[in-house]
Amino acid sequence: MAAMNQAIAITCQGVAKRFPLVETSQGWRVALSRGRGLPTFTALDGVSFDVPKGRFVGVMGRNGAGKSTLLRVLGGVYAPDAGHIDVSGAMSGIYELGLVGNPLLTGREYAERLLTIHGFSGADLRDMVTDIQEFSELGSRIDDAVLGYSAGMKARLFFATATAGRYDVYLLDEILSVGDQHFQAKCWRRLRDRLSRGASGVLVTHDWAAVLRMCETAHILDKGRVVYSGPAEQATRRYLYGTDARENFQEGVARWVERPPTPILARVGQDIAVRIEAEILQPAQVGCVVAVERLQTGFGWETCLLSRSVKPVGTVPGRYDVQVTIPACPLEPGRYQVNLHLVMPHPERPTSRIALDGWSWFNGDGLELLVEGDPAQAFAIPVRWDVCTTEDGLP
Amino acid sequence: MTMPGGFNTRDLRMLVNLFKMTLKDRFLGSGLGILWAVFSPLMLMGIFVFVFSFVFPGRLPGRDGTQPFVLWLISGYGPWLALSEGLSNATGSVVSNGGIVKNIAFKSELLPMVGAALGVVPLLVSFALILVLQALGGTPPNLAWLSIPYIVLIQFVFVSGCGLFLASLNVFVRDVALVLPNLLTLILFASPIFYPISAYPDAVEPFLAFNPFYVIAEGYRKPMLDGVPLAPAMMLYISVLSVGIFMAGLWWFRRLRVFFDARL
Repeated sequence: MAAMNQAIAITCQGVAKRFPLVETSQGWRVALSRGRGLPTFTALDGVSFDVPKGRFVGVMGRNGAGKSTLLRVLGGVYAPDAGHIDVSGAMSGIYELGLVGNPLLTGREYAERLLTIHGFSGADLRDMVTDIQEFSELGSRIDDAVLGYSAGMKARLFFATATAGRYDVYLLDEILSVGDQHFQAKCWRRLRDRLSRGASGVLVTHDWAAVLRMCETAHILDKGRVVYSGPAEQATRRYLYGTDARENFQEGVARWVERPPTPILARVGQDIAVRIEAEILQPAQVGCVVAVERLQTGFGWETCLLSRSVKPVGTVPGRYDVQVTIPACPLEPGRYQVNLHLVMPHPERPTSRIALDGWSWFNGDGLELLVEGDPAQAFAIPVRWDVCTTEDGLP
Repeated sequence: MTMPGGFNTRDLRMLVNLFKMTLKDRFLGSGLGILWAVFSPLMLMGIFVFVFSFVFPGRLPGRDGTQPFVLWLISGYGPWLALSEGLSNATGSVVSNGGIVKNIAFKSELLPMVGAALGVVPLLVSFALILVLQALGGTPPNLAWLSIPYIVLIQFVFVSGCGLFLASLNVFVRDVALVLPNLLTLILFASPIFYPISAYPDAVEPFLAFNPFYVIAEGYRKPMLDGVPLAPAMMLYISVLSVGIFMAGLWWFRRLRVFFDARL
């Protein structure tokens, strides 16, 4: 459990940002009266959230929702019209993937310039440039003018430069949509490394999968307001499908009678048994499927356990006891979600099934499973193992 | 450490870095590179020396010969070149660095100051030229030269102040940068730089004496040619005026800075 007074890396309180809509002919008006009386566009309105130390927080939203403005306000590039922002520690901002400055500069000069602006110098700077050359895989082309770089090369140089330093706080805008798969994987690895060293950050993106992989908490921004704040998986659902997205259940065939008390508590290595009552209303081949899923920051959303086949519940109307058993719980301690569905085969296409009732993260009502105990006895995904070398171990 | 105007040592470092970057960018990709910073003012001074020595020979009251006139011309035109170049750079600085302003958190009021500092380059070139000419003519530099660094500082403060005002206005009214070259030519010919102040009608002379462009030019000419620093009263006048203009420009700039986002 998170401590109540967890250290905060970024505080953002009631932040508002308005842009006066200035037409070219009205330039003088802004200069003389500071734009009083001009129509304004409200880019951000009363945005509040915290980023705890050592966490990345996702901000999702559609084009024009104010995401990039929010990031620039957090980074101190734009002054907010109202509200208060507090960032603790050294900060690196990646606001747009453009190379700012003269395109005649070489990649190396560009990197040196950006690092100099951030206050690095001397041996530190030289080491970082070496690291940038290596990470960006530009090789000898780092000494060519940026002018001749491909879009991918520019993106690689930019990402490598912006993350070369060890910062406490990262502000990232759509960074992971760049480069090829190979480079994206490297970017992920680097961000994960920074995260594991205690860095915090804000990740602004349309890419919901990125949010699930990096963030536990996410916010949805719409027309400059935070419309949802909560666990990343819930936020993703809202972002993708809107507020009233739900699975379509065919009604009147079968249903769960009552939601079991949650969180379901379990211990590593001990059996998990949950009893739920199901009611069949019409004759049908009703079955049950269960999946246990987990959000692991830095890795993403994973299905940990899944009953591959449908377990039959019954065929004639009546009440049935459904017992979900996971013998000798192999899961490592943590929070999981149990998705539990009543299904029946599709009458025309026997390979697909029709959902009748259920709880899942998609609907925002998955059953929470809390596993406690000794991690050593658990089988964790991804599997972790040690490699030991013993000097005189061989006979 | 905090400094006047709300600046700190970090800003000072940023100012130096931005200065180096802008200077480098200016000549990037050209064959001669940074040498243009020296050639360009030399060529301009050469043209004016040629025009005013041979085409329309100018005469200085009380001094004969071409060499004193050339020295007089360069000692006025060099600082003018520095002033006008500094002011043009400063005025366009915020708009031309829009990318930096939108993507890096720093005090954007440093940009016009960097522009003003760029004017110091032609100034140093003209100093070097004058020293060479005087050495050839057998006149060693005198003690009054020691007052020149102070005038350079005052000129920087003065141009920064005007630049802060014009650069922020230029974000909203882009005509400013377009009209400036014409305005500068007008001021050049309205200031006693190409001709002595005595060439003006008596009625305007007292007013011209307070023209800051003229006062700054005199700040260099007096020690270089007459071996005496600028009169203390004028020194005080130009100092107070420059600091005043700087503070006013800074106030104006900061007043408009929050609206830059809408127009960059």
